[in-house]
Amino acid sequence: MVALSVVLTFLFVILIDMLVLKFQGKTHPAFENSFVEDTVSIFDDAKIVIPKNMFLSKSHIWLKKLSKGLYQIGIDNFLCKSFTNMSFNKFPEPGNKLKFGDALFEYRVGNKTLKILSPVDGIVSSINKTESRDKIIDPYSQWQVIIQAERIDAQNNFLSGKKAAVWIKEEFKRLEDFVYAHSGNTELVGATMYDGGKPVESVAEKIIENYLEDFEKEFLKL
Amino acid sequence: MKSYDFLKPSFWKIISAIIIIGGLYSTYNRFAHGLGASTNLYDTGPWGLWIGFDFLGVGLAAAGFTIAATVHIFNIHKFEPIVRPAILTAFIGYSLVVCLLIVDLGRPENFWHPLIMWNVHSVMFEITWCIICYSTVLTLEFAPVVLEKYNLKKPIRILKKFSIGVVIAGVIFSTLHQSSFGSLYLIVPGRLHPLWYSSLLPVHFFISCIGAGLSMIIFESFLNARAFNTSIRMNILSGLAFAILIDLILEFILKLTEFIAAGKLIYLTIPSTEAYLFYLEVFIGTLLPVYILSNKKLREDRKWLFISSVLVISGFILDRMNVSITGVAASSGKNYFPSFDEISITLMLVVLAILAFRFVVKNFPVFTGEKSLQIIGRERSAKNSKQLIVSE
Repeated sequence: MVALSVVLTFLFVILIDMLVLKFQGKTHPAFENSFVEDTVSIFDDAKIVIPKNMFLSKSHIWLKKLSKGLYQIGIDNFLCKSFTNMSFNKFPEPGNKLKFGDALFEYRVGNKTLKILSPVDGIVSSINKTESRDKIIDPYSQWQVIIQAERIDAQNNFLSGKKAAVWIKEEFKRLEDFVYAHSGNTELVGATMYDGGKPVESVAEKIIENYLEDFEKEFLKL
Repeated sequence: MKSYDFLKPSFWKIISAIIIIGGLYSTYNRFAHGLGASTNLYDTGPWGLWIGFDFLGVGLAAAGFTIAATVHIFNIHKFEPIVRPAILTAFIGYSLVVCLLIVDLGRPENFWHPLIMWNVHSVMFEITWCIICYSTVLTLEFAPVVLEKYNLKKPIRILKKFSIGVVIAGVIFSTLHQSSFGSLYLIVPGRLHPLWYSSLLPVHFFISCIGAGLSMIIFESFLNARAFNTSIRMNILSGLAFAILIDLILEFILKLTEFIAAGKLIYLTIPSTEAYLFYLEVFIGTLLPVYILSNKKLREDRKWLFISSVLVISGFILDRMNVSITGVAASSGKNYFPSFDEISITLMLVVLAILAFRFVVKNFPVFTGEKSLQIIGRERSAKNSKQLIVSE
């Protein structure tokens, strides 16, 4: 019974910790709630999951406040699902001053580059080359840049909570329309789409890649 | 005012303070009145809760050598960010074991005897030397973290020259040590229940500690995220989860093969406390985590990753406690349940280990990348400068 008592004590402490966090209005990082969890039609398993403590910008990056004036930045689920095979191409140098709309970092998609724009004025504090080299599995955990900026929640070009979830769902719908609109070449998409079928993920990706400039204009401008 | 933040009361701080006060009182009892008066141990059952926790401390520290070898010997640098947390866990785990051993020794003042009075035929001799050697290796492996904090570049350069040798020595000592705990029970074939006794016990101990040690790293990453609001490195942790899956399957196949070969399946059909606890151990520590982790989607989901790490650790706790206590209970002829002092001292040491881990993580660059962000923030507000740190 000693063995059982020790295990139950271990599990009891974890349970109490969950209750303490709940009492404090917080959530254990393993069970962090999202405002909305929904699926979108264009990708088979593209769930909309947005952590509570993040702001989304219209250039499809997220910001998380670390301490006063310091924000962690990464790409959102929308970009991650749109380009599963992209790789980092260019980072900003620590110390660089950025203005709203400047290129924050660049990805390589096939033989093209995709620029992600900065939604804030600020100074680059730190870059995370280690994680950026890896494939992005959990976009809201893998940060790329830390930026020193003024208060961002006071600005209008950020969304959080339910608003962010509704917006990103709209973005996925727009992406679906974008793929349909650029699918004139039936060799890429297949005739099934015109009968109501969906493009498979790899085909959707291929189309987006072929029309990368249009994609940037449509989805990444601020 | 910031330096007094730790004085702000919180639920866990109050609980920790109560446990530590209780533990100090029990430690006084233990050393003032002896083992007989303060524990429920007896002549035919001299090993109890403390030995069980020695097994746990060493086993859960196994990620130290596993991750260090993966990164520095096999050059899989993906796992580099978790080398330091793994080594810190090992270091604290071993320190916990050393403290428990001193408390558990009948004549603690003679703890240094094995250093000069060698009995090379004793398993205990091997265990003692493995603890000493591996603790030294862990100190050397962790030293750069402390030296970095104080910007002592010359000693770091010297340590780097020997780092591969130190890592290899660590792997050797740790492998010997993990398995020698299993060997300890090879000398009591008549006393340990057949469900756990096996001539392959050292191999079982070695394989199971790898999965448990890696699960401990996952569990700690969540604790770190909970305490310091850092992100979870899912790409690294899901990679660890895959390694745990392979380890658990290997352990299960080995156990099953050994049960069939040794004709021990019959013991699974005899209703007994031992059989029920064995079933529980295998179910929550092996079968359930294997089911979860074999699904790639669940392995990459933070909730299931956390749950599976808790399950593997729970199964490991059951396994080691079953070997050290449940498995020998019947042969000792007495029902053992630890005394208040045994429980109180154990809880105190566990709390001190957690506090030590928290202190080191907060003050030294252990979780590189995540932690450096907070250091940047603090330095910025303190100096109001534009010093830049690049986490690589």
